[in-house]
Amino acid sequence: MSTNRELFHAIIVLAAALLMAMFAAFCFPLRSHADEAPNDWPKYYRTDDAWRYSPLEQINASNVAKLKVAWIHQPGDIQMGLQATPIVIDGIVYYVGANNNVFAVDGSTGKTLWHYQPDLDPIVTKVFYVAASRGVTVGHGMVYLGSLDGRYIALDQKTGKVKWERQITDLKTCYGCLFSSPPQLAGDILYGGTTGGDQPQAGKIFAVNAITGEPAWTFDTIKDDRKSWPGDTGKVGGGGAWMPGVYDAKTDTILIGTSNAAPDFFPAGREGDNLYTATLLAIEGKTGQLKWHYQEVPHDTWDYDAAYEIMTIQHEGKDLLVHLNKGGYVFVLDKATGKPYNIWPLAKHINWTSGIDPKTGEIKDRYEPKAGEARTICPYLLGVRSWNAASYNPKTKLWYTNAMEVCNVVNSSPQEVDKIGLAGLYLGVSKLEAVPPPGDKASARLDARDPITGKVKWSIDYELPGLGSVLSTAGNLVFNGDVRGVFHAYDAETGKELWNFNTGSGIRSGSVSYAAGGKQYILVPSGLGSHAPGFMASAFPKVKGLPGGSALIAFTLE
Amino acid sequence: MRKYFVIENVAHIISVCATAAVFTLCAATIVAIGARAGGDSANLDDPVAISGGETTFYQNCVYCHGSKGSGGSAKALQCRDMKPDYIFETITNGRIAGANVMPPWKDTFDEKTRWQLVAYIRSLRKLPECDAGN
Ligand code: HEC
Repeated sequence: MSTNRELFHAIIVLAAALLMAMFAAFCFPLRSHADEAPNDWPKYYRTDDAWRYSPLEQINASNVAKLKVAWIHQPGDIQMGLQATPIVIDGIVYYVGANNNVFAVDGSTGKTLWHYQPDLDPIVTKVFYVAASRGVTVGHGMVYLGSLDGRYIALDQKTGKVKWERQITDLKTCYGCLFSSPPQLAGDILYGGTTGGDQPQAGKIFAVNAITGEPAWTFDTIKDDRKSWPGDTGKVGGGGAWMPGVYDAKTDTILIGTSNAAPDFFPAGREGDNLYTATLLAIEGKTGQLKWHYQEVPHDTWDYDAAYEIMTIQHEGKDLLVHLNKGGYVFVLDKATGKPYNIWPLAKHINWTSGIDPKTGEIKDRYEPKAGEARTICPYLLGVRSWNAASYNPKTKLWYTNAMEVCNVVNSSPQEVDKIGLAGLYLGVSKLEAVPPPGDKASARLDARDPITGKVKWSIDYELPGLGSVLSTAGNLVFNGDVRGVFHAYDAETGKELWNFNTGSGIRSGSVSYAAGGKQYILVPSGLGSHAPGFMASAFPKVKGLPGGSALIAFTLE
Repeated sequence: MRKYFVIENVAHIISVCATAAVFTLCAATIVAIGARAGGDSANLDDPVAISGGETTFYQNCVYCHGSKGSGGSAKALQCRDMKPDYIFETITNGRIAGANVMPPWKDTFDEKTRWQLVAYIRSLRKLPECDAGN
């Protein structure tokens, strides 16, 4: 009898365990990266999902109003402000200020652990994209920098001493193409692209061995194909991949987007698709071979880069990519194939097309710039949003992004390439002006939306466009800094503002969250300095004269 | 070469003036030419120079200075009476003002192109919007 009872008992336990395992498998079919290394912000977008989401919840909607400044770190050089997204690993903050000043900082105290600045080639002061970097990458015991003078530099993570460096580009021959974003890791491969969508050059993605710095492969973002680029137009076709890509280790796939085609607004002569500009690329990490590509804007004539963050979201058992193009549409693609799943408009004012087919991606009724005519085109060249990334919160299942409604008047005009010097741009215009949308005023907002369908959950008007990346956390919080420097915290569900702090200079960076010594921190790089406010000033006069600065500010609860 | 050109011109004007014997007018003309001696022969009021400068401006400068130099991340260039040499010098060598940086354009544009930019910026002195107190 007792044995029978024991057997019965064992069967029940077994059945329960089986049920639980099945339940777990059913509930979490595709595990996200969100919970990995919860205390750290180890990569540019924190994880390869590119969610910009921290699973920390010590700071939450009920106590966020008690945030206080814990420490401030100043890089000392404010040229072009502070545009970086810091990396935080094991309580140590790694970031880069103006002119490639790299710092390791104690995340509890703000004390400098080491500082490194390369001896930069003087050419860096003569190019268009001066001084600014968007961050560093940490891995293999090294801190990687893409330098303003076209180098990859690997520093010892502990000491900041150079382990290896390699000259990758020659600024003199590529109109100042340089690394404004940190090169990223794909296992042992370090890869990245340069500025150059608005310059008469041909973009490339450069990969080296991350351990040694030896060249691995180079991918031409300008396809060698006369059908795509008649004559020599590809040689000056733009196509830089100037933002960080993401990596899928399971399939050894790099996902990275490319810039617009050049000359931006004067397409005559480059009739064709102009591959691989305004395109998402899936590249094999080891070999640099193209797995698939999806060109969001074939034959781009509007400066509609596809360089922004590429998010992965699980939906109905599928891995989908969510990607905003400057042209105002969000492209939701099947991650395995790059085929469209849905395409929806984030911008309200779009007139370069009457619509994009959400299943085929066909761009209907293109309204292109025309030589000899002033045409108002929406959105304008900074896009419905600048490069400052969105955030996805798996708890609310909402996508949080800044957005703006601005158009530009474009007089398309040919431009002689040999008259464009080192700091020159190859826009193909004789006139270009940011203007409010026809019949409306220029406006800006922070949106919370369903990333797959675009359905709005809440939206907050901003006086001026937000130029910083959004952060969301498991504490039911969304953080967004504005261009005047006020850093806001909102309830992630409702959009209600819960707290704000005036940092004194605009946010043009990526705020992050981490934990050190048992405390959660919100880390805010403050300091304006960017090309964007200059161009938007004709539509938003109040953006003029906002003060520059550069300070890394850490907040925590008392 | 340019210097000789100016001296030649001055000599020529003096001889013409002498015959006409209108000395006050003469003096004014010499001063006017002298003021331009540091530049090149492009006339700053020449509509061709101004429109050439305008195109270069919209291709390269509008990003920071706003359309018609209305101001952006950098100061407004319109409604201001800046000296031509000052404008030329600033364009040539660039400028750093706090967080904002203007690259030098010396290696990007030849002198003629830079003077056309000067002509365009000078043309922004008296726009209708200047009276509106902008
Ligand atoms: C990357 C931004 C940027 C670009 C591009 C740029 N500038 Fe500037 N410019 C500045 C800054 C910053 C200043 C200094 C303003 C100040 O002192 O506040 C300046 C100053 C000037 C000044 C002097 C104005 C004064 O108030 O003293 C002139 C003239 C000028 N720029 C002309 C040009 C021209 C012409 C071009 C295009 C060939 C150009 N700039 C392109 C940023 C830029």
